[in-house]
Amino acid sequence: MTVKNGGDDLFQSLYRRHYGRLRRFFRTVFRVSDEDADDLTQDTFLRFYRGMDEYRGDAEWAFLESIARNVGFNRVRSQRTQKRGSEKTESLDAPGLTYEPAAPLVDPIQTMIEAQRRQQVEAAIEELPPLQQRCLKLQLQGFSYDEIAGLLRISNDAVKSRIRDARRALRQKLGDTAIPEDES
Amino acid sequence: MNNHTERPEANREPIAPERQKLGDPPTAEEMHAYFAGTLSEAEAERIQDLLVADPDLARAYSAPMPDAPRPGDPDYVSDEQVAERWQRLEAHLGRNVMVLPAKRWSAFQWIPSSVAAALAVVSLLLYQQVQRLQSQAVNEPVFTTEAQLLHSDFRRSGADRSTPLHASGNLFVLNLQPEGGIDARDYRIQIIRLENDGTERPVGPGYDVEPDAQGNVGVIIPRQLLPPGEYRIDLIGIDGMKETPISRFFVHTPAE
Repeated sequence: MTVKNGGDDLFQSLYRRHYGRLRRFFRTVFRVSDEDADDLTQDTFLRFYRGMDEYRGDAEWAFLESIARNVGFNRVRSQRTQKRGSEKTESLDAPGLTYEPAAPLVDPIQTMIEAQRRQQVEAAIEELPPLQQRCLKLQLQGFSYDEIAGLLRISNDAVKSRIRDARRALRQKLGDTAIPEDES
Repeated sequence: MNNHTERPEANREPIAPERQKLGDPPTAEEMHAYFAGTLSEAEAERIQDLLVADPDLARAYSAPMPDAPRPGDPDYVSDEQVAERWQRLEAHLGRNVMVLPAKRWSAFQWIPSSVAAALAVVSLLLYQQVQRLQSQAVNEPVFTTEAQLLHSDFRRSGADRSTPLHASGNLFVLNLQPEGGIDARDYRIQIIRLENDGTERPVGPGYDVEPDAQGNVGVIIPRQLLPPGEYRIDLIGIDGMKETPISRFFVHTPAE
């Protein structure tokens, strides 16, 4: 049964049941306004409607979720593309661009030391094997083992192993205090 | 599990230069292929690097789905609100569309048959604009003439070679003629304003369209939607979740 062939009731039922959840997904995960969350949710259902012929009727939520993730992804992607365009043309002489003095530093020397240390850590991470780098960087950004495994299409155990190896290598290179133990 | 929304901004700053180095983010189509495991190793690694460099993109495919909001939650949407949005969606799908005042609707009766299919688009486009039209121009007469033919050109670009659009009263009446055949299940147009500084700004959401028997697409666009400037109209074919650019039309609207 498809919407286009008379499954309007089904489509409407899905809409009523899942509208709030999808809207919340967009609002919290992508930090968009209520209005934009509404637009993205509508777009998701619109695409669901268009893809109803592919929908088998037994995994409605999975189908909706995959569409919603694509819609959210496209939203971020288009923002990136637009932002890059605007970055290219930004000029110090641009009207409305004002100089904001930097906030006073609490402790300039400490800040400098921390910045140097950070540079050392970043440089050391860049020397790690690629997969270790990716796993560690994603973890440092707050992604869980499960999320990293899904994103990199590897097993959960492989993620743990790469992160453990990466941290060990960094500790050997930079000293024990530079890299804290993995608390995940 | 971490709460993505509470992650510190600072964690994302150092990776911005890396994003610049890696180039444009992957398309949803590429992501689909990536997760299906059909990309080459090199391409898959490039996508992994892009995901690592852009946590917001990564989050789209990894953030856990929240539970449905309950009454009292800040995100809760009442049945009445959902019903109102459902009506809007139905209008967008062209099922219960009749957004033009009767007086205005009658002005479209003698549009040439080649753009008859555009009526759904008219409704759609004007649905977005109708409030403004009603407040500003509802009493102005609407005249339509023959549709302006636009030929697809993927190669052409630049302001000097775009096609000037001729308004008919308050409307641009266009007949888009795609290059080659079209065989997608559904179609959509996306209008993009091309700014002088090189940025591209979508004009509204994409609009569903339906080609006629010859494969041409009639589109009627309220003049208000396209203030003077350069635009690109993309015709996109949709098969389920796959979107394929079919044709693009570079146009400009002259200063009034």
